[in-house]
Amino acid sequence: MRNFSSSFLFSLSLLRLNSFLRPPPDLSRSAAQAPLQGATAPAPVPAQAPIRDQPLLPVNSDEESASADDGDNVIELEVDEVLPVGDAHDGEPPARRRRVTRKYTLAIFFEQIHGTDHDYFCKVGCLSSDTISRKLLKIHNSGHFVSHLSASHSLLLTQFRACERNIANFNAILGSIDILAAKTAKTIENNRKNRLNWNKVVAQDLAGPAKSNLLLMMWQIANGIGRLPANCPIFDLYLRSLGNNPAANRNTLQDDYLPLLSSLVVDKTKADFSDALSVSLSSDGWRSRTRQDFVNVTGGRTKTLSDRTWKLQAAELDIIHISGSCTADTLETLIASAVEEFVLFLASFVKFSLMFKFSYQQIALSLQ
Amino acid sequence: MTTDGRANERLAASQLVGEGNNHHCDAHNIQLDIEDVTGKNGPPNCADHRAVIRKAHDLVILINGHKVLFTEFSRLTQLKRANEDNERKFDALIINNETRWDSELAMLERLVAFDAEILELYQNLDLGIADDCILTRFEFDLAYAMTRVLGPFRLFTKFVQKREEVTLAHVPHLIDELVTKLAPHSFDNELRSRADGVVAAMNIFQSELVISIKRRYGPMFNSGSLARCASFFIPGRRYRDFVNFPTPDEDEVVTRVKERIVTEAIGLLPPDADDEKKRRTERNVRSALEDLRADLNKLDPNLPENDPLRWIPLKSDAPILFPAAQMFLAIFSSSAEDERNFSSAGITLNKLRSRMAIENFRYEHRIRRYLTAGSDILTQAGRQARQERAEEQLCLFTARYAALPLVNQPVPLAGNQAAVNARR
Repeated sequence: MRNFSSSFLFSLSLLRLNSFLRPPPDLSRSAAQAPLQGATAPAPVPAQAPIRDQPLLPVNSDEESASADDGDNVIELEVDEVLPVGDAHDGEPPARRRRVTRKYTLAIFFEQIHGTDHDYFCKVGCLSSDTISRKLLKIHNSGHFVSHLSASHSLLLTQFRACERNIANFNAILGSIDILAAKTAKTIENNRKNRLNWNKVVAQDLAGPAKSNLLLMMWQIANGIGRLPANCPIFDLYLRSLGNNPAANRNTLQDDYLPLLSSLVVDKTKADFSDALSVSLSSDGWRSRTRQDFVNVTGGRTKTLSDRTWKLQAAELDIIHISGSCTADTLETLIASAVEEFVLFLASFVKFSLMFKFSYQQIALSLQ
Repeated sequence: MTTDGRANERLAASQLVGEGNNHHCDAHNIQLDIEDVTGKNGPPNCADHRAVIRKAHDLVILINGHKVLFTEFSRLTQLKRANEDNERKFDALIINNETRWDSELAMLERLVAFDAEILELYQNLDLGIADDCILTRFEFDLAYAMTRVLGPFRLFTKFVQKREEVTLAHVPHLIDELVTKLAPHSFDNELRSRADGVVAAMNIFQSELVISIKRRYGPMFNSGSLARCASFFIPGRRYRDFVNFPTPDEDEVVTRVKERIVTEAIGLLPPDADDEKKRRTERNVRSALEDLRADLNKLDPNLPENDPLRWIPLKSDAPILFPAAQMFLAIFSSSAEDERNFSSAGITLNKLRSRMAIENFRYEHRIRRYLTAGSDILTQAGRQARQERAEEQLCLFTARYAALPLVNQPVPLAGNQAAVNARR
């Protein structure tokens, strides 16, 4: 903490000091606003952050260390101030004056200490990706601190730096921080409630948002539509006009739903091929428009339907990128790896090592 | 295992499934037969045909490659489409492409269909089409005759492209029928009114095609090939005694086919099956094969209820043959399914998404093929199939996650509201 504070130490000349030293900072807030990380211990949410109007109390060295012990991370503002010495006479100010230094803190981070590690959580609006906790920031030096402020809270940083030029009210900044922190805590609490409610809905019926996102993915992929158009504001307007929420974020769809959907398709294909005694294969090479080489593997089998008739099934097993030379040995290895993923056992027609993983019971039934 | 003709793929297939268990794509094979005659290394007596194809190729490039010509040609073709209801609706001229099946036929067909429009372009002196670009009477009639002769090739190619139908078993007799259709003088009546010399030229063309087909497909008929083994399970007598591929020792070939089926049926037994079980199985398979074949010979192959996929599984005295029959009937006769996959891959990896990560492309390609394969969105059945597959995925999703404790459910599945918050 001291490393940061030393990096953000501003020297402020005494210029119209009374104009921005009105409301004092609340130095006892750390206990009430512990980081909301983790679902087990939700922190109490302040109903309304008070706007303080007591005289400003500068932070002395003891209070600073106490603040550090409480886990607050602060930016310090050091102000040089000229104070009168002695009593006034007949309304005249005292003739002697002395120069003092005061420090003011700007605390927008919570700090958690794990041994030698420090975790910093933004408390003025940044949420984690699951939206049920504050955002954990990876801060290793003061540059990260400034980067986060300038990227996410540029107004606060601008106002804070304006204090250096004596054109902003420092206490107003503190008030804004408290309001933002309270709103953030309230948002997190609501999100946690929504999450719990959503889980209850999912437990009863999964025809909820997750299914909607899967359907959106399937529609996009089946029609060759990218994920970006689904986040187009016009598409959002269309969904809102129908009374629906906008589509899920494209990164979420790609990172989470695309592998999930692919794994579901793989499971379906595996299930289709699980009871096959023999599988016919078809393979061919392809070069994309970006000159990338692929080899495609298709599997075919005869399936027995419920009315005992047979049906031929063909399924895409895999399309494999070939980065090097396309020799027969390479192709053999790639095709075998693709088939082994899907086919549990193979007839002698396809002579793999896997062919010995027979389902004896099924064979016995089929040969009766 | 079915591959196209590339050496590395064929070698990989041989190494993977064993020599004799790989099948060369019939759609590619039949195009090679055409290429043998119309290609650069074709026989000298088919030089006229190659010249016609080359001239047609140049003419298509001339019309499609010049803006003024193409604009005027498009106007004329639109007029033709609007005025002639019964005319086959071709949109434009296309060029032959060695990687596209039946492309020579498609190019010649369109040139013949748009002959009046091309002549109108030629007569427009402002367009400046040179005399040697236009097909002469003889060349045009030769092009027309070639469209007639190459028609049966297209029918064959269309058949072997069928999805999820028995195709390989029908290839031997279809090849036999194709050669019958291509026999010299078989198109004489249709071409009698054409220019002098066309009939003679086409007879030479047909005989060269027949020679090429017989050379390429002869080994399939003379051995216990996969196609002959598969054809053993189709009704009628189409499995033997071919007209154009007579084999002096046909009985010996049929015997080899039976032996291979027996061998494969034994191979489908568990690897730890003892010799006694293998001997018993072999005896039963041989007996069942004779009975099955005797019954199949009595059936009419043209009746839908005699489809081997419907008739064989209902035959109660031949279950011991079912694994082998299923194996041979499921073999792809062409790599058309792979070509469809590539068509789908081209849509997934289109020019606007060409920088997609390979892993994401694999995901999307797999999903798209599952959802769209064989489900044409323009037909009611296709739309129904597509909807059912999507619903099936949702059911799988439900089955996978409903059983999990809530705490184990994936966080990203929190739904739209969380995603919207994340976007903010």
